[in-house]
Amino acid sequence: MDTLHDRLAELAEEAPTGGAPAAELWARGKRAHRFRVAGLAAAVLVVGAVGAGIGVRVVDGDGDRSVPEPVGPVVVALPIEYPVGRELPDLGDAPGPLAGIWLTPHEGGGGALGAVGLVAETGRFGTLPIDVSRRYMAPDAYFALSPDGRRIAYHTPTDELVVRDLVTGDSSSLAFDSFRPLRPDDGPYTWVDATHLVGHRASGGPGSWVSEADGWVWQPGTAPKRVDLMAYPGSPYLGPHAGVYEHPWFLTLPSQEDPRECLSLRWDRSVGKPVPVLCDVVGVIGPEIALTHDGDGAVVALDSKGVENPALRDVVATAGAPLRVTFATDLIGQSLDAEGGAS
Amino acid sequence: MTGHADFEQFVLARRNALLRTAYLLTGNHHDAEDLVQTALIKVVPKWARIQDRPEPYVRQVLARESVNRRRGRRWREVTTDVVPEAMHHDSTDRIALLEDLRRLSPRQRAVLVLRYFDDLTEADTAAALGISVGTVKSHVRDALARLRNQRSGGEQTTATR
Repeated sequence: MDTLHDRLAELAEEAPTGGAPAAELWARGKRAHRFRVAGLAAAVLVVGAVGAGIGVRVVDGDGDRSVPEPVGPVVVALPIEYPVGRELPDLGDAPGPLAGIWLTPHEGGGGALGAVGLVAETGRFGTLPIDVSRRYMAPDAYFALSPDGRRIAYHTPTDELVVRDLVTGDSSSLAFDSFRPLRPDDGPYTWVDATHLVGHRASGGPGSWVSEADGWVWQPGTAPKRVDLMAYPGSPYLGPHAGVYEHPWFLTLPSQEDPRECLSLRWDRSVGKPVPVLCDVVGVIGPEIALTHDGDGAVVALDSKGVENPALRDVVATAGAPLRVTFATDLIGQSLDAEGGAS
Repeated sequence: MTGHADFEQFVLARRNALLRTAYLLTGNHHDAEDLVQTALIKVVPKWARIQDRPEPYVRQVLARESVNRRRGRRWREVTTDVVPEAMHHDSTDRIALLEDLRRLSPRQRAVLVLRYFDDLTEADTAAALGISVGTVKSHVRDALARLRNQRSGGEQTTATR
């Protein structure tokens, strides 16, 4: 008498074999994921805009600006090796999407800062023709590259907040008519997707905005609008609200110390032992991966499950690069084979 | 090894095994190929997290996709005007089993295939389908009862587990 297993196995012998090449399946999986992420982000933001009373702006002749564009098929080779001490070419106003941007003091520049970008499509480093505020020498000044690497938001030496489109070369100065002027160290701003920059007016120093509800959102072609961050649907992607921050090793606020020393230990009463603590997050990829400096100055992608496990860390940029950096997190996420997220 | 290379190696090594499971879940070549292809495409975004042990997750996607697809449509009946004149015993038995499986509900069929072909435990079967162990047990009981009451199952099948 045959067992059911035997009979099923016999039947399964008639199964087909082969199929589409694995490389094609991989490419289709990557492509489908990118479109799914873009679609989800669009859905969330459209719903949120309506919920927050913002409305969805449709710009004549330019489509619905609220719909983020999918990330292009750009591959960034990891780990990134910053060209320490090398003379770099000028990338011009429209270098295309960048994988990362570093702020670095000019040699003999008396405190002036320059910006160095890594072109995602070519892997070429170069200088960016942008003037940034000297306040960026402080550890808690904010600048941000959009997840797709297309737009950089930064403060000029006159404390204007500017968004530069790295594909077209166009710059937009954000006019905060109804807000008090922002400074680079006046609170973080984060790209929740490729076209939505969300900021906050801090009142009590870095980190204090966690409980505050007053924020703003900017999209290309629009003026910044106030939003209630407690209700804004993009808030789960913002700094301290992003998933990785829920882990105990993110409980401390950003440190004023040298970011290279930010991976330290904190005594956790609940587990009765010291646990690692991170204090300079330079990017968040999905709910579980943070980009942060390790103790040696390299930037690593840390999986929340593996903060104490070196096997679950990927080096994103080797040591030796300037410490002030922002990444196109979707592009880095693709190179890590991880799900993308806000910058 | 990169995620891409690792994925290719997995597909090369395990695709035929997945196709056998998919064939039992769907009952025909075309749907089996489509099911495996869909499952493999769906796991690509998760590959970095599952690549150390991808098979359980791939089988989970395969099983759930199969159930979801069949919920949306009745399983395809294969009809023919020509009755084979001299059918080998093995072929007759296989066709009978195939027809018996077709008459089960999508979830009963998936439970049976995962438990009695892929040799998953009740707990692993429950996890793969996103149901409780108790539901797995009741599906197994009901599915075996239906097989016994049907033409081929009652005569020749012994479920050993």
